[in-house]
Amino acid sequence: MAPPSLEQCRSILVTEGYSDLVVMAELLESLGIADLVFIQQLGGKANLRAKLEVLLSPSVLASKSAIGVVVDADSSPAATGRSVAETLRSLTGRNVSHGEWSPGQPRVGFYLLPDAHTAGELETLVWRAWSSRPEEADAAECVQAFLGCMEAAGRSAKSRDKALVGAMLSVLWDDDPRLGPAVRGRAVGLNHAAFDGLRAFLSVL
Amino acid sequence: MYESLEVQDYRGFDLLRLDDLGLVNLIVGPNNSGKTALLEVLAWLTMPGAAPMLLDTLRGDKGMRWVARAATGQTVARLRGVLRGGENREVAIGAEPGLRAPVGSGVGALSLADVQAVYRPADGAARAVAISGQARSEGSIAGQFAAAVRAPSSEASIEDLLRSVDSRVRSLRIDLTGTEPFISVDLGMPERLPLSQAGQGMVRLVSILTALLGPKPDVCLLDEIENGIHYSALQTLWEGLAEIAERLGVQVFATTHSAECLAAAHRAFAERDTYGLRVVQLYLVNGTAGGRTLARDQIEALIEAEIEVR
Repeated sequence: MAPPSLEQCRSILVTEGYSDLVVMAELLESLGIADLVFIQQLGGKANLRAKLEVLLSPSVLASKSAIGVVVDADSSPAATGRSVAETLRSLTGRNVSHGEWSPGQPRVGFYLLPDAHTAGELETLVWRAWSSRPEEADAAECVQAFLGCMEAAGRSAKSRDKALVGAMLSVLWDDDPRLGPAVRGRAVGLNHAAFDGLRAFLSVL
Repeated sequence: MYESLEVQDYRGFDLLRLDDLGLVNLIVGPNNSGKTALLEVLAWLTMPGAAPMLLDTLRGDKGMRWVARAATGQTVARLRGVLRGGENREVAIGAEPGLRAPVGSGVGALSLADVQAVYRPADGAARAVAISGQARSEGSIAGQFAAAVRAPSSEASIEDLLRSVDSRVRSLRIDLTGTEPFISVDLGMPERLPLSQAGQGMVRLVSILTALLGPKPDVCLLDEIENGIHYSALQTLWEGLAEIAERLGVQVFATTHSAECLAAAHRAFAERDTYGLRVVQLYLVNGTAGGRTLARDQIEALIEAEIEVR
C-alpha cells in the first residue's frame, strides 16, 4: 500500500534518514495511526534548519494538527536539544523541549534519541531493547566480545551502538544494504587478487 | 531586474510579498496556487500597455474581468515591483468606480471593456515576452527563427548560445519539405538534420531563444517550461536558459509542476560561477494564495530531502 500523501495526513513526523523513517512507520502502525501521519525523512541532519524551513511552509503550518521531529542526540543531547528547540521556535513560534508538545495548532514537539540525557541514537534504543531480553543474554555477550576484539585490534567504531546493532543484525538479518555504499565509500577495497577473476570477466563487457 | 514584488488583491492573492528575486526564478506550487497569475503580475508591471496580449498568450483566454480578487468589480488589484537600483513600478487594475482616473504626470492608463488600469511609470520603457507551455508547430518556430535572424548578429548569437550547450552545433538554417518550413541544424555530419532530431530540449531552447532575440525583452515569462520535454532533456534546456539569461541580461520567470525540472535547474546553475536561480514557492493557506522565495541553501535542502513543493 502506498504511504499516505502530505495532503491526506493530519500530522507530520520528521526523521533524519530512511532507516529512521521505516522504524517510525512501524511504531505508528503499532499505534494504529500510520494512515494519519506523513513521515518526511531529511536525508541526514546536516542543513537541518534549511530543510525544516522548506518543509514547514505557511500552508503546512496552517493545515496540520501536529508536527513532530525525532532526531539522534549524537554526542551531546544538550547541544542537539538546544539546536532543535531553537530551530523549531524560530520556524513555528513555539517554545518546545524534548518529549513535550506545545499547545495550539499545530502542536509542535521533538524527541531526542535515545533520550534527553544520554548520548546516542536510534540504535541505542534498539540495542537496549534486544540485549536486555533474557533469551538473548548469551548472544549479546558474543556481540560485545566481538566489538571488544575489534577495538583491541585497533578498529574502534565511530558509534558503538550502531556497531553493536550492525554486528547483531549481521547474524539475525541476512540482507545487508551497507555493502554497496561501504565499497563505494572505500571502506572495503576491491584492489585485491581475490577480485582478479571477476575483474577479468567484467573487463570484456 | 526585479528585486521584489508586492501583489495585493490580484486573482487568488490577498497580499503576496516576494523579496530576493534572482536572474532566473522558477515558480512552483500546487494547482490554483497562482503560478500563472504571478506571471500575469509581471506582465502588468513590465509592459502594462501590452498586458492584455501577454495574458492572452499565457492563459489563452481574455479573463480580464476577473483579475481583481473580488469579482464584484469594486476591488482594485494593486501591484508593485522594485527594480535593482530602486526604481518602482506600480499598477492598479479594477473597474470603475473602484479605480480612480490617473492624476499627475508620469501616469499611464489603459481602458478595456471590463477593467481599467493605471500605471506608473507611463513610458513603458521595459519589455516583456510571454511564452506559453503549449506545444508549437515546427513551422511556427521556423517563422519566429526567420524573424529573429534577420539581424546577422542575432543569428550568430543563437548559434553561439546553442554551441555552449551542444558543441556539435555549427549553424541553423530554414529548410523546406513541401510547403512546411522547418529548422535544420548542421552538427558536422554529411547532411543537415531537422532540429527536432537534435532533441526536445534543443527545440524548446531554439523556440525560447528566437522569442528573446527578436524583441530583446527585459523580462521573459515562461509558462509550464517543462511541457513536452522529456526529463532527460531538461538539463540541456536549463544550461541554455542560464546562458541566455546571463548573456542577454533577461530576467526569467518560469512555472513548473516538475520536481525533475527543479532539480535540473539547480544542477545547471550550481555549475556556473554565479548561482542566479531562485525558487518562488507558492501555496494556499485557507484558500488564499501566498508565497516565498527560496535561495540556494533552501533549494539544495528541498532537493536533498525530496520535499514536495509542487
